[in-house]
Amino acid sequence: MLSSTRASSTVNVPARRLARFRRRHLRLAAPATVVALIAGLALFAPWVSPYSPESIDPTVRFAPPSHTHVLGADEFGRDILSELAFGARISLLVSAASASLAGVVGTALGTIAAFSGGPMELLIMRIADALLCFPPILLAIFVITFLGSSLLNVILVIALLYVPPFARLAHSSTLTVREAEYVTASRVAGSGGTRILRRDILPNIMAPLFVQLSLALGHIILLESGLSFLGLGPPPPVPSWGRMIGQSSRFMSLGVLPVVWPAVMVSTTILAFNLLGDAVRDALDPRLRGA
Amino acid sequence: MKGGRSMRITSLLLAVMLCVLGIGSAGIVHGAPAPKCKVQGGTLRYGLVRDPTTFDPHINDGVTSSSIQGNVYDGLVEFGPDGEVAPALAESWMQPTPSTYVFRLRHNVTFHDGTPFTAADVLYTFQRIQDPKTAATRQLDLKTSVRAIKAVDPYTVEIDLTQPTATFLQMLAAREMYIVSKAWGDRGGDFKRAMNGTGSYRLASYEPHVRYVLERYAKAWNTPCIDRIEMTPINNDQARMDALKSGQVDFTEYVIWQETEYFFTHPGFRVYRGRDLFDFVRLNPNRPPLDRPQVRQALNFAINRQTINIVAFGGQGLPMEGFLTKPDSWAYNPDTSKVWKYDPKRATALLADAGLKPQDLHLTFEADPGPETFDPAQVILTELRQLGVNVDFKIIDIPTLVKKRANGDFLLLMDGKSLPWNDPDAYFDFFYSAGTNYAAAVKFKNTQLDQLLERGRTTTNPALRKPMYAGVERILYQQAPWIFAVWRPQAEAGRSFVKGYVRLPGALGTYTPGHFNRLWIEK
Repeated sequence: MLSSTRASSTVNVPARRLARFRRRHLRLAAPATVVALIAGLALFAPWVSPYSPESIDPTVRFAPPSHTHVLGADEFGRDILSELAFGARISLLVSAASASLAGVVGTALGTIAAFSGGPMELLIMRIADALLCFPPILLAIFVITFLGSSLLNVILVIALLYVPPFARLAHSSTLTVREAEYVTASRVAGSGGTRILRRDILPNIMAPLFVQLSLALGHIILLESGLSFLGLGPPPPVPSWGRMIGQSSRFMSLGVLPVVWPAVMVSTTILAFNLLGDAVRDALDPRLRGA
Repeated sequence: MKGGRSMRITSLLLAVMLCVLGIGSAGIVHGAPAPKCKVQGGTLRYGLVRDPTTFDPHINDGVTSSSIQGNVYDGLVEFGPDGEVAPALAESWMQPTPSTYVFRLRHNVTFHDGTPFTAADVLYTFQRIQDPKTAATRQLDLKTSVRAIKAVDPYTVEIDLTQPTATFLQMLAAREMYIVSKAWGDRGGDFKRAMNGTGSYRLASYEPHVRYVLERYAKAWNTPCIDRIEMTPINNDQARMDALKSGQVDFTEYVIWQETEYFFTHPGFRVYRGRDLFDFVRLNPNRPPLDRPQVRQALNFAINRQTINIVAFGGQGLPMEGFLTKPDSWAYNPDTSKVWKYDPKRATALLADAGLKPQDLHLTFEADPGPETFDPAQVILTELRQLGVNVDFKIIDIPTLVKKRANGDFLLLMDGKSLPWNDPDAYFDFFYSAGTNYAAAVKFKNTQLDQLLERGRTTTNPALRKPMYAGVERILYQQAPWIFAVWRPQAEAGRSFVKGYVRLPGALGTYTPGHFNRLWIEK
């Protein structure tokens, strides 16, 4: 393939390659940059924020953007930029912690179910199906109402909600891979169940799970914001994007900016994670490789 | 208020003089003038905050239910537009001795089912309130204050009190004391789901979440001007405001403070605003570190009440720098009305007195998510943290709040309340050690305070009572059982063609929607 293109038009080759490189990498790089920026905002929140996200100043309520309050101030006179920066910490923390927890547990359960088969498979997969029946937000509200809202509870509940998708995905991928010749070969070579799972199956089902992970990261941010919007997220003084929207929406007749900024942050972050997920899928899909 | 006070003093003096002359006694209060309609007829469409959870006229189910119950039921007496106790089903009363009341009942009054109203209904009502099965709000009050009640004849009721009670008439006028029909109750009438009163309006029909329709009762003793009232529950505050703006309703209860400006400035609307309710933090003086009064005082000095008022209520409330009496009360005491100032240095010093640094305090602070208490709670949380105190903030639901109020299982609990009536005896409800509201739950007991509250309740002369309540406030300052925070704004609004709405003064503001018979529509 390479040789033929080189032969046909030598002049265009670098440009075309560059274009292809750009196209493919821009799709990965653009959302990755946005995610990195938001992660940077979260990581360096104490340095980025000009004020404490908690500090209330009744003299600047609903202040428009200015050099003292870059994004303006909210209904309590709190600096919106500072709140967004510290809120990013919560959103990303909840998202990363629950997604990885769900990813690890879900993958483990799914592969074990598919690999062991029998009553174990039946038990795990039916429980997963039962959990999938409930709309996530409804189940989250239900559980949080019982447990009380704290950062840890929110992470655990969301992780629980995202275990079934991972389990199902890992299960179906394992079912395919289980029958592959290299697995049979490994078994013939004398590998035990654990070794086959670890060395032969897991590495070969990773691609779709990574895509699922990056999509879950975005969805979880939406779910966490939704819970916080309803007042079921982590309680104050921890700032949270969802609660900012929920709280400030009661004051929209007096000022809209305190609602607009966190809403923009939530949408941008989710969009970035979804685009990143798409790009990761394309990059990992062998059928699209080299296209 | 001033007129009422002098009238009360005058009638008291008169009673004393008559006693001295050996004539017996009198203290006859004449009826308020009947409402005069400028225009008769029409329909008022009214926005409710929520559905009432019960129609039971002896259970306080909040302002919303009393807007319905108040118009369907009558008490023996009621609060007149000036806030003074006025005749209702009793057209006059006498007080032959300080602890005896004789009520002359109104003739030719019928309940909405057509049965006549007599003294038997009053007796039945008192019985029902005292029956533990009813779980009536005023059960304990009646048990402790009433020794005996008897019907002298079908239109005369005599009530003997266990001791002279300064607020007895006000208690009778309260929204949990409506008179119900004995015949209807004996027939098994369902007080929770149906209503049969003597009021100006009868409940014509209702469909929960949709509509409650009140129709003018043709044989009402207190004839209203408006024929029909259609009440629609609109839970969402903003939606209810929009319903008034768009003309879907003509009048609405509870206007959020963010919207009062709109109705003040736009022609065609009128806002009626008072400060009847207050926000405070219940402290538990039986749990360390709040078992030391200095610590509780320190928390009071750590709070900036101006900030709470501006941030949580747009400056429309009133910082609670003293206690539960406002300048419009006869018991108002300037010495104790400005004691709580924002003074973080003093707070730190008080903690140092108790051998503590702010960092040593680990407090659990609980609040429900209702904006009227949640917004002030956020400010208090921030200010306590700014002082250096460690605060674990928890959001709880309303049923949990109600449970915690009753069992005292909290350290700091955000709450909002109203006073039962415009009398400093309200302190009794909260701080008397055997009271039900606060003190009993957290086992708060101060013998001196208890004595003052008892004497304040059984003394009827305001001039003698005033120093007692000044003493009460001094003890409350030393003990600081609460963080006293803010009087919050409470408003209703309507189209300007709805006339005659005059908010009752002081703590009684929320009684106003219970008197639609004072309104008329003039388009």
